[in-house]
Amino acid sequence: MSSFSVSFRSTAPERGVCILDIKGELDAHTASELEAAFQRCLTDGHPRIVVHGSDLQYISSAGLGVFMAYIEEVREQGGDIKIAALQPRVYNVFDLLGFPVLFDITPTEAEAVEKFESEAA
Amino acid sequence: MGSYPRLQPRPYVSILHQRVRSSDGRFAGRLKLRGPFLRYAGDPAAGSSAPRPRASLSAVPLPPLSFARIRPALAGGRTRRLLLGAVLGVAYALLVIYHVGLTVVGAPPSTATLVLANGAVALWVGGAGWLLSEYIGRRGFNPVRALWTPLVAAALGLVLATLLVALTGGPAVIDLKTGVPDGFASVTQVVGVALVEAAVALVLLFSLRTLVLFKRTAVSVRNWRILVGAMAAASLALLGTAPTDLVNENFLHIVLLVFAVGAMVLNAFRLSWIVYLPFRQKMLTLGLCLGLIVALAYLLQLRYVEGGIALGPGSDFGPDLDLDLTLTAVFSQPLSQFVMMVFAFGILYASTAVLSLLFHLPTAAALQQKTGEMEALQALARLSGEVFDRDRLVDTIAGAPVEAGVAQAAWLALIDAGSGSLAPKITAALGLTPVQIKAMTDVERLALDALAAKAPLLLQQAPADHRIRARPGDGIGSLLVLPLTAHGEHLGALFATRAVAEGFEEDDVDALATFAGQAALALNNADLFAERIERERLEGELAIAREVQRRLLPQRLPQSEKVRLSAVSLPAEEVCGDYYDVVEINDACLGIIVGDVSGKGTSAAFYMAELKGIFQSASRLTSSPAEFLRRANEALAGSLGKTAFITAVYGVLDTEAERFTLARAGHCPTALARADGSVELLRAGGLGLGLDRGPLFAHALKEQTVSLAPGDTFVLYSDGLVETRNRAGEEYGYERLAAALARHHRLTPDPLRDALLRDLQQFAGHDVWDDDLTIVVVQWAGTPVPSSTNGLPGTAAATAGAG
Repeated sequence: MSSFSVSFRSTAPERGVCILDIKGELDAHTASELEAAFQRCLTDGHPRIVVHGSDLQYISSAGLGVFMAYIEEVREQGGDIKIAALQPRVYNVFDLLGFPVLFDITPTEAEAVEKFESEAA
Repeated sequence: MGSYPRLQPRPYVSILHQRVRSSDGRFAGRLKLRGPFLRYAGDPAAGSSAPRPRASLSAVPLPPLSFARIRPALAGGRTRRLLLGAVLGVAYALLVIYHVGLTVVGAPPSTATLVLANGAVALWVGGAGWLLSEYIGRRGFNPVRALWTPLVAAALGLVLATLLVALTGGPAVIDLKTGVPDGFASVTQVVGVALVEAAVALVLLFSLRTLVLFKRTAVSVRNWRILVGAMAAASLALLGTAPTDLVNENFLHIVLLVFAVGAMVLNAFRLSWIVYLPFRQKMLTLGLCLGLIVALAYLLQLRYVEGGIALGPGSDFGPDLDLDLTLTAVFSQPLSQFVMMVFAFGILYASTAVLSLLFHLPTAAALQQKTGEMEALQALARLSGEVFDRDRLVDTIAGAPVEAGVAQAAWLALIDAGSGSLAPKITAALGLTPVQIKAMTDVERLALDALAAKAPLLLQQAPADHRIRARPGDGIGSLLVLPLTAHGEHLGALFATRAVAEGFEEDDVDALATFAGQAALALNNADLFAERIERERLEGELAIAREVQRRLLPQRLPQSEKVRLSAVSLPAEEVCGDYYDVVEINDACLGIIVGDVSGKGTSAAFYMAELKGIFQSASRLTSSPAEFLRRANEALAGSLGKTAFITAVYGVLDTEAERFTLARAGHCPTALARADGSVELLRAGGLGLGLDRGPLFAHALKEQTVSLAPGDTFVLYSDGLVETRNRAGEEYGYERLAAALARHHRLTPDPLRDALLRDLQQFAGHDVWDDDLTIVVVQWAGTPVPSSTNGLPGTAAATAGAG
């Protein structure tokens, strides 16, 4: 059974960016947890989300589908999902699919947060 | 044996007729089986009037019989009987002649002659008895018939004897000193009345036999034989006794007589056939027994001899003469004794029967009702076992206690497994509406309590219980709750209620509990049956989907001298989300595509089918892979949802221009092995199909062109290849793929494909794939020069993808 967890972290309230630390394997069985996390961010009114993936070991097409499922709504609410600090192997999966064209994928979390700020400006 | 659905307590078959057929089918006949059998009634409500002894089984196999062997057996019985009848007739005639002779001579016979004559009579009676036994009791047991037959025989006998005496001029005249009839009239009466009495006695004896031997056990048969034997012995002790001898001076006879009386008493209490008679039949047999007693008593004391004493010519006797003569005794003393003993036994047996019937009458109605209830419950239980339609089944079960007459209202509360709730809900009811039931009883609480107790819950004073909200007079006086469990699983409960308090007896509870057990199994079976049907339906659907998907893959790959192809596709589950196809765009160009739908299962297969449709139609419109993929993206964007996407790689091989152009929509990079063994991965930019509907896709997609050199081998594949993990959790990965390709690149496509598969299998350590796996090998041979491969040049091995 694959194991997966999502935990919430946020930068100082005034910055308003919600950071999700994801850990483990993201596939069809565990995708619902990430979905719930995205949903919570939206209902809490934090559409600016950074997914921190340094502990993400594996992602399947179902996991990728979760990002696709929420990106539209998040962007409609004036936010975005940015992905940071992916392991090279996992980044390769995103890259092969062409995700960098759709999402900002940055090597570090700080860069992702900065992007939010420069967008806000 | 065939199936005998019900064994009911109505056992009255002593003869079973069974149709048999020889195993070669040439002969069929009937087998007659004797013995007490339980009746196999067709209908529980069928009246008890006519037992149905015929139960036919089809095709009980016999060894092949020759017709010659059957024939004599079939014909033997009747001939034998006729023969015997003739012998008896002749014997009787001889006896008549003997008595006439005696009359003529006027003197008593010598002892020797007497013995001979009596012996002849004994044999005659024996033979007649044997003959009669074939006819009486042959047609199955019927107590009514067993009683009115001798009654009618006795009445008839009485009438005949009276007629005979009347027609021949009054009571017979017998010489008391010689015991010889005086005149032809008397002799006629003697032989006639003796015959009649003998016949009546035999009929009576064999009729009683069917009653006494109703329960045919070794003991009962032995006792009967003792009786008949004792009576015969006591009679035969008088072989040498003349009509005028005093019977009670024969000591042996007295002893045997006492013994016979003892045997009579022994047999007089075999009355088990009474218990099962319905009320009406009990009354009827009671009357018949009384009638029989009267008739036999009358016969016993009847003397067609005036004043009970024979008058001889010129004799004048007083009342103190103790010679008591019957006409039968004149014919044969042993016969007379025998007849009297049989009549006495008849009276005795009928008397005990009368007493027993009288004692059983009050309970007859109750017994019948109980039996009726049990039969009805059994019938309903059986019906439940046959019904698989759940709605009908719950109606049958809920209605059963009422239909059987055991309760006034009944309902069924079942746990709905699908709803997730453990509380039983009323599913069917008879006698009360669900609304009334819910208002009056706490169905859930009662059902759960019964299930927890694992035993029937009986409330004899229902309104007093806190789970009952009804008041006395509402229709619920006593309530029985029966838990329904099958294989340890709780199904619910069956409720039965009577309007009166203390309405359920122990028998009722037992019978309903048995029924509830069977009902639970029937419900379980119905559920399993439904599940099975659903599963088969799903499997049927999957099988169709798999077949459809298999046919969407190319059945045959085009081969030529310049380009050789090989492919394989192995689905992870029944239905595959991988797709590959080859199309001849024109004379020069070949289009090869490999696609992978995200996800697995039936929906992936449908998207794949759509892609094939687009591919087959749109690919011929353009020789630019990027252009095709752009069009495909537009076409698919509508049907793929937000989260579904398809990765694909599409290459166009131009055999004239000798180049291979590829575009990669998010798919795994195509591997290229050159003739010198170097391997590179072709990874132009591109987004997966369906991820973007607009210009981003078009903008991101790049084409890559490779100039072809002889020996160039392209491997297009799906991510199932590189993502397969071994036991340690490592992925096969691109490096291993490149290494394997480098090792085997000299092989022709088919062996190369197989070699890659083998390498993967060795790495993984198993051949069950997590993800769909597809490999397509495209090898460029260039100008038709025999290449340095170990394949056969120019032979085209048609390869279809293994589905």
